[in-house]
Amino acid sequence: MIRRRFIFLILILLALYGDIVFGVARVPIFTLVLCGIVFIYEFISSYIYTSR
Amino acid sequence: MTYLSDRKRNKRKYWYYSIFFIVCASIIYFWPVFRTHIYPYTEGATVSYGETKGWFSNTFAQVYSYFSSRNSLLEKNKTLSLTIERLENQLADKDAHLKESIMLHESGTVHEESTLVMYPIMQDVTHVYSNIILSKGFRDGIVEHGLVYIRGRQAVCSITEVYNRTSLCTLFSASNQKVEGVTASSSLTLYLQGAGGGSYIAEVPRDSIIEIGDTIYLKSNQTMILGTIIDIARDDQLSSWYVYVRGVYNPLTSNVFYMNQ
Repeated sequence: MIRRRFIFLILILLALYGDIVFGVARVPIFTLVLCGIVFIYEFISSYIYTSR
Repeated sequence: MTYLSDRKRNKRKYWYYSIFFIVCASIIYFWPVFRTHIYPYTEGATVSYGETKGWFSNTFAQVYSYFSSRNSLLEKNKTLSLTIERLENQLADKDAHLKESIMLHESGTVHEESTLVMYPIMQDVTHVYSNIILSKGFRDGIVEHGLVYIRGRQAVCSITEVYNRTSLCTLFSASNQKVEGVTASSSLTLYLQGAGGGSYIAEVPRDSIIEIGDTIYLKSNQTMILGTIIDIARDDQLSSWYVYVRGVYNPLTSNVFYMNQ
């Protein structure tokens, strides 16, 4: 579980770096999309594991 | 696992979600300031990306030309040479007219402008165009609020941030950006609001002398084109009409940008 969250943190930091280097929009798009995916995954995974 | 310890774990989970949400919201809210401070340290990566991108597209063009027939390449070369010659003639002609009119107005002193050529390192190819990262910065003579245009003296953006080797240019057609334009035919002033996607919307008084197809020029520099009127919403029950202007910027075809120094 901790390793998974560590990987998510690394991915979010990479997305943030990409937004700083390549960002031309007013919001950090890559970071937002990745945060959304991580949030949905974390939210859904708790229901997946409890139903087993 | 008992119910009580599970409740503690859920409470901790909600704390994590709340902190995560607050951090995301803070980053979004303070993003322009945050990015402006951090970007100078990562500028090297942006420049390297621009150079690598250029190298890849040049390599691809070379591989393609290696496998193309010689005749087709010669034909293409000839067409391009003729186009260059025609454009150089047009430019020289316009330059001569411009110098003549400057000399008539300013008794004898002609100011020679040099033009900076820039390439986009990063463009937003979605329909939410707002900014472009250009390949020139402080050390190339880029200044803030400089006017950037594409071929045919078509204004697209204004420099908002300047760094050492790159600069950020905000499009006139970015959402909620405002720019003043004038029509060629009736010299009517339009207050254009960027609608994203390279387009503008303006409100004009009813019965204004304005037609579809009119060219809109930048009010502060009337040698620069902003766009063309593509539609006018005429509702006689309202006191004003809405004018839709198609801007000149297209991230797929705009590959070279210019700025006068």
